[in-house]
Amino acid sequence: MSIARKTNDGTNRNLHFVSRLWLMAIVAFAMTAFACGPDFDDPSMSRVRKPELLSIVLDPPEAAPGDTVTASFLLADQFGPVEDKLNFWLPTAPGSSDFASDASDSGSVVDIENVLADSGLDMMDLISPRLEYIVPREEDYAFDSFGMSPQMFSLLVQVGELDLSRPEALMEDMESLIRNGDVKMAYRTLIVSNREFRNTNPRVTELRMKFGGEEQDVSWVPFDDPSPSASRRKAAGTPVIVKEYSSVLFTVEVEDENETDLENAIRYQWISNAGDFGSRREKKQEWIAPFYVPPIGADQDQSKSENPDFRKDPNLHAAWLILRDNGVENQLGQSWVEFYIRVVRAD
Amino acid sequence: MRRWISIIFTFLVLVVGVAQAQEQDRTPQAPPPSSGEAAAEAPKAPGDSKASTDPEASGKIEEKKRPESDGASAMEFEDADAPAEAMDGSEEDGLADDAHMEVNFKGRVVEKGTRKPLADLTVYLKDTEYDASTGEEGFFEFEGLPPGTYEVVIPTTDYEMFKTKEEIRPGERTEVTYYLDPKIYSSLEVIVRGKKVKKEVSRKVIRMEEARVIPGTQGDAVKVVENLPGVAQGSSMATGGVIVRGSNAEDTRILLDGHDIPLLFHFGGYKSVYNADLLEEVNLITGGFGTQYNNATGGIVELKSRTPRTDRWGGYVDTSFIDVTALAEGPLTKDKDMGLALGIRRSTIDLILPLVFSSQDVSFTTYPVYYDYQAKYFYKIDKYHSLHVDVYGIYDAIKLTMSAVSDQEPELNGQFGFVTQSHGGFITYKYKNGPFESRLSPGYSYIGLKIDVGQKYYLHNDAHVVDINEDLTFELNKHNTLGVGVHLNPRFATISTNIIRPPKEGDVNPSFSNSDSIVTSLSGGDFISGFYVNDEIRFGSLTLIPGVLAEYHDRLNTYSINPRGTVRWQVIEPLTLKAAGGLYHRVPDPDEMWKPFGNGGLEMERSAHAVGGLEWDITKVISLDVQGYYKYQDNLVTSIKNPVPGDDRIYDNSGKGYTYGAEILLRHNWTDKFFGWIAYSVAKAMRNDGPGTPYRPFDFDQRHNLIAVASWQFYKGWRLGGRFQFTTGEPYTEITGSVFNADNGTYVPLYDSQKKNSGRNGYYHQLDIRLDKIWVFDKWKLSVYWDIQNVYYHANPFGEVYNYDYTETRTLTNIPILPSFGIRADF
Repeated sequence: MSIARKTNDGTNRNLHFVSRLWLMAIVAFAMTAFACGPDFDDPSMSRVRKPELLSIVLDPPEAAPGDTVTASFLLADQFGPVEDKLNFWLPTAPGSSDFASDASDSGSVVDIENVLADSGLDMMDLISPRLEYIVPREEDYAFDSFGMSPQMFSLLVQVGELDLSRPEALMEDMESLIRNGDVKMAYRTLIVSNREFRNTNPRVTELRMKFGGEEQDVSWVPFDDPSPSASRRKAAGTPVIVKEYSSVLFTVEVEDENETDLENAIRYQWISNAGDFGSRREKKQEWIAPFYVPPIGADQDQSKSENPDFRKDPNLHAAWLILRDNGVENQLGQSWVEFYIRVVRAD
Repeated sequence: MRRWISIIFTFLVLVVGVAQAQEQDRTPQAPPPSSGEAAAEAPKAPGDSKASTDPEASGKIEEKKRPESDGASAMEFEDADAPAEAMDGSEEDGLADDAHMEVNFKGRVVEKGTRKPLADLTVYLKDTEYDASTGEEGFFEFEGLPPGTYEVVIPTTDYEMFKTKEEIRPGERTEVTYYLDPKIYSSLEVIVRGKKVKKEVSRKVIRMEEARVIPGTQGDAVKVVENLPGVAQGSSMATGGVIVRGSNAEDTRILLDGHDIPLLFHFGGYKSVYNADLLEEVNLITGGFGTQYNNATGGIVELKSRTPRTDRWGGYVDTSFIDVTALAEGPLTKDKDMGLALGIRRSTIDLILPLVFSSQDVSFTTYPVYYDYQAKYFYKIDKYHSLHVDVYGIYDAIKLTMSAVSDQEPELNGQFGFVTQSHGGFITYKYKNGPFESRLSPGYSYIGLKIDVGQKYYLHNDAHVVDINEDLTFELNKHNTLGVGVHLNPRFATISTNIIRPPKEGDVNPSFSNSDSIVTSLSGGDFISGFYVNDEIRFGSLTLIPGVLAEYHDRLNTYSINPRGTVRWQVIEPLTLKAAGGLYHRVPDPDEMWKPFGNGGLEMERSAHAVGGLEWDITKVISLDVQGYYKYQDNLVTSIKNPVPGDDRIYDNSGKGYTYGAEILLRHNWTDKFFGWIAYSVAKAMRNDGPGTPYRPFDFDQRHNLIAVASWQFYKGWRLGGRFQFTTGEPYTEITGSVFNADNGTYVPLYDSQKKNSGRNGYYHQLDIRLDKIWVFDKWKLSVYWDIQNVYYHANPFGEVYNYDYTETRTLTNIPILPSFGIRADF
């Protein structure tokens, strides 16, 4: 929850340097932890209730000029992961890092034509779910004192109904499509670097769950699975099985190649399309299972299938763990795993 | 902290030591002053009295009857309240030449509850020819009364008729203390002052008697000004300052006896840090102020402290659900030329919160706690010179661990630590001799701030601020009074941070997650100086005060010249027309001038004021003040939105703004049973953010603001107060969408920069009531109050809140209803 209270500018002359507004903002942000908050229909990121972009992974997250970076994204809605939507990658020019401020303050989200012209990629590359991007020459970047230069990647993903017969009109009307929620827009920063040791993405090495006093391994689908559709169905066929409205404790183990301070570096974000991960983001995370929903017709009961259609079964839920290593400055490594939970009757 | 406490106590010990040493020095050198001398030299403090015996009383007795004296000495008088010198003086002055007279009935008349001596009252012995008057210390005496039973009667207009019976026995002396019951009960002693000469066109004065009983403010001295026209509703809670006539909080200086208060409020806006009971009055000047105020473009809030009482020791203890306050004050010498007041306040929230607060998401390491203290020392050196020493301090702390994570600020969970403290003081040396008056006041304050937020953000700041004020006035002749002054303000600070750049006026949703954090450690200082001269010119009913202020700031290496003037014309006895105007400058905020938060090359912000209006004393107690004004602002520091390549500046002075409006204050002055006012402000305050940007409403552009305040003593000891406020909503910028920042998993809001502050919150209206009850005992008073804010439970909007991806919005409302209760004992 964000408080958009109008605030006044400036620094208290008497505090000499410290702004009253800093204090007010800091206290306000801190108080959000206390706030019960208004009753939003969609109050939390930990529960997917509508189409959402959950993650964009750049692999590797820090690359040298000439390296190839694979960009991929995770889209999901209340029924599970979504794979069949049109997307559009928009790598901005090298060294361009002001997307956030430009986009929020200008009112004009992004100039697609210019971005396309600067990217050096063709249209087919840009509409692929996975973008293979070759980092341009070193001369194109202005490295800072740490040897790094950020480069922005934008992503447009269709989530609503679009009239794809007139792509030019879509481009012209992109701003309103984003505002209306028919198109989701996101951005991601690639760190281009000439450093010897470059950051890598953190990865899950082990995912376990504890339910009813018993602990067991959880099958998951990694972000870089070469056949995600098939792997998802397979993982959905071997879900964690828990009783309705019960408490489950998940535990994860992580590795990050060049990171020595994993405890401070790694951030955990747990998301599911049912149940409740609460408002915490911890390495050991509790999940409260939802109620069992009696299936209506055989189509909704996929429990006997080895490759179930998780989008149809109301008791087969998708969950994700997104890892980020940005607890350390100048690190933007990220990855995710997807796993499935089946809820059964309590009795 | 210990070091500061040690210094403060050392100081107090020194003060008391000096006082005692001077007392000892004086005693052998000269006999105690006569009552007349003592009276002439006595300080004019609240509740002050002349050290005296009752020569008048003795004289009157002489006229009535002169019985034989047995030589009884006045030193036998055992009333602890009676000063020895007073009784000595009585003997010398009144009875020395009539040693044969016997005083067989003597006493003292004081106010019930406060023990304030009551002078100039007549003590009658009913159905006899005997009477006596009380002296400055309230003493009276009868000599040679025939034995018998007398009915004593003390009639007076301000107190209930006093009647009692006394028996005078042969060879015995009857000694009494009479406590007169005041007709008007106030938790404060009413401070009687002469009518102030008004010089500022837009000055409004709040007496602390009034401030104490205004509902909804808990007697908070600074927050009370929010009930006056020209001040934005809720500004202290929202900004930690005061919003005056469309100016930023930072444009308005809040002064305590001419010195900036380093920290105004506990916890950034909750409650002001200075004990209101040590104040005499609060002045609010909303525009067109004089040349003696430098480095301000908005307004002035001036807290004027009072002199510690020197008639007797007294004080109070006040406790509520919020805090506990104690104050003690009194004379340090028998001559009553020195006084000391000590006040301390401590919050009680940290004691109550563990009993009522429980959360899985938040655990406290340090429950929120605050302290503040004040010490005031007064020494009237002689009839020309006086010395005031003020020491104050504040300490706030809270430390907690937040387990819950905000989806919009995921890095802010974990530890949250907040410790602020400030300790300082100032010395004021006054010299007044005929038409010449000098006031020299150097001060120093330390401000320490330590904030740790979440898993990586912190802000640690230590600042040292010195200010030296010298103000001189010369009454050249009956038409001219010249004023000259210099104000010097060197400042030094060290700061280390890992925090975002502070948000500025008009900014939308400052975000830790989506802003660059500045990691730095730096130190430095600057120097602000001002020099002014003005001349108060009086021709009959016309008063002109032209003047000029020159300011210089070393860091900017820039100066300003500020011509200002005031005109007042008393057209007829109850009606005065007035006007004021001038130029005003202020130094940008330090972060705006310091790299890497800001940049050099800035100029002072500038404002021009024009104010006109009238004052009409409709009756002796009802007055009307009407003002219209226009204020233009330029050189406003604003963020550079589209810097050209190679230009690494963050800010420039390209912002402009204007405000115009009118204010009406209809006021019923404090009388026996009632006071109150109706204040209405209408205003329009607009800003732009540099060339090419449209004018937009100021963040606190409250177009209409109506406030009605009333307090009524409806029965003896009972007082009922009410406060109603209606304010049109503040503007806000509408969020039109969002973009997902996949780097950290948060959403960045989108808005139209051409339509900043185009939305408006709903109306704010609220009724607060307060009931006070006072029980008066002979030597102390007990008072309780019930204060209920927002009686009819209106959900007042104060901002928009959004869900994590800005697809939903709700209006955030204030606390729906807030009852509070307090109890206080005065002695």
